[in-house]
Amino acid sequence: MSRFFEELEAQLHGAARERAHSRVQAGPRGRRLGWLRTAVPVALALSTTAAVAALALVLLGHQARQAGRQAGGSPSPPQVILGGTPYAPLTVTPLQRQELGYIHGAERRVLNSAACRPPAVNRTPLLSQRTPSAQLLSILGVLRGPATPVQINPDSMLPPDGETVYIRYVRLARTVGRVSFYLVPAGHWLPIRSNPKRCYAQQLKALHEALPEIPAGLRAGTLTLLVRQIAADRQADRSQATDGICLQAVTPRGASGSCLDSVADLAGWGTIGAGGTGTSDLLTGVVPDGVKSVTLRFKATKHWRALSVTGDVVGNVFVVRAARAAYGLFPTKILWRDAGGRVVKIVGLPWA
Amino acid sequence: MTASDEDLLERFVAGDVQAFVAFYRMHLPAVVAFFMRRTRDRELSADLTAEVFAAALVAAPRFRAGEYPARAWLYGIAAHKLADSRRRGRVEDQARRRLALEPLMIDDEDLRRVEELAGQADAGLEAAVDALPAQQRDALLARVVDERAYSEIATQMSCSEMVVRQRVSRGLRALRARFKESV
Repeated sequence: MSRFFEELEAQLHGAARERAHSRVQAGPRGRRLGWLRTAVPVALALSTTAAVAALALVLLGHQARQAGRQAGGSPSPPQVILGGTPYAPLTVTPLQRQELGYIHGAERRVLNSAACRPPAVNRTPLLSQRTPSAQLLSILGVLRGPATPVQINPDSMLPPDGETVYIRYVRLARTVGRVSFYLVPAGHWLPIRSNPKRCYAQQLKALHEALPEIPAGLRAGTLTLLVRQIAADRQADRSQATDGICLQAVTPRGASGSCLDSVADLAGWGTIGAGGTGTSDLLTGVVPDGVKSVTLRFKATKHWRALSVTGDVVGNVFVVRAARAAYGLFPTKILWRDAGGRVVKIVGLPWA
Repeated sequence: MTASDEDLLERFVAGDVQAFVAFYRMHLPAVVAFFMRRTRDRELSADLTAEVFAAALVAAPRFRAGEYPARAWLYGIAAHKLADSRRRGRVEDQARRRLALEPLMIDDEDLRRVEELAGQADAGLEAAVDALPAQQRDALLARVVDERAYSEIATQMSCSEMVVRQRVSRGLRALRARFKESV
């Protein structure tokens, strides 16, 4: 997910506003400040109403953060999972990026405080000799097959947050060129929570205090976004541990990968991701049993023609080469095909 | 160059914050492409781009419409920042510190975005260069892109140095006319 230029825009906007504000303050039009002081509480009240009304909505980007995780400490570029389901896209709108920039700016001090700093993560996964859930085994045939020699250093094995790796069920799904794709089942998976829940109120308070510095047109949306994030965090607090699957790409330069922590999403939608393979034009993903090939359909863009490209599935993993993947372009549809080439499912990725 | 560029800067100086955001959006691809063509380094290009726009924000009150196009003014800042970074061996963040901007992280997706932005800006230019007569195009690319000496190009093209200069000059003039601005 690209953020650099959107965050830069948000920061420049804030700086521009500050400088314009300084000029107004220094100039003969100081009366406008009085109007601003009156207007801010009104805007705050409106914002709060809008935020409460939106409380029931689940933040799309936040869902995706739970759905996809990245391995750390790898010399390869991290693999990025686009999302477990069409309802959990990782992409956010440019406006949301701006709003997120203001949220991060406001809550930075809170989350950097000793009381609210996210707890240190034990990056060494626990290796278990136990068996993954029957639900996970039932949809990924490669896990039920015979054990394969594993050439992953356990210290670099996913996931990074201290969940359990079912070491006896790690499988080499396939090898493409110099890249080996491993499926790594993992369990006791709790959704990511970025900071201690006791700090939610402080995060909100910090944003309220920063609202006057945020452009009026973005205040309501920014506050709504944080409220939705917190709501999703609270929901995550109540979630039960589950099994999940990680697709690990091992190259001569190192290893990296992504995980999906929902067996239901895996069965329903599979995964698709890019990167981590040492080349930027490979799209990879995990699909359930019965899917023998996938067709990725890309829509036409200003610089690219529409494209339909098919790749086989080996060991529940597909690897498809598409030059446009290097430019962050993903298919809008993934067709799952059975052994006879018949389409058994069309997974729509409307955000791509 | 459209007059709206200058308008945007003037409006920003007059207090219209959104005008600077519009200026940023309008010129982001061109500035990224400017650095990509010269450095071939995506991360460096992103870093320099951020510093250029921060510097432009600081310097905007000193911009005088009518003296020169806003884009040329922006490129002037870009060229200065690039030269400065080459001299010092690192990208200065003077303007960003002055504005108290937070350091930005850049990831793989951002790097791809750099290429995309550069591609957006280059697409029109490439088409214009391709449309030039073959001799003009070859001379222009050899001189401007490959930065080869006129004498060397002349030897390769089996013509005089003066002819090469003329071809380069005509090619540049044609491009300027195409974009209705001085590059």
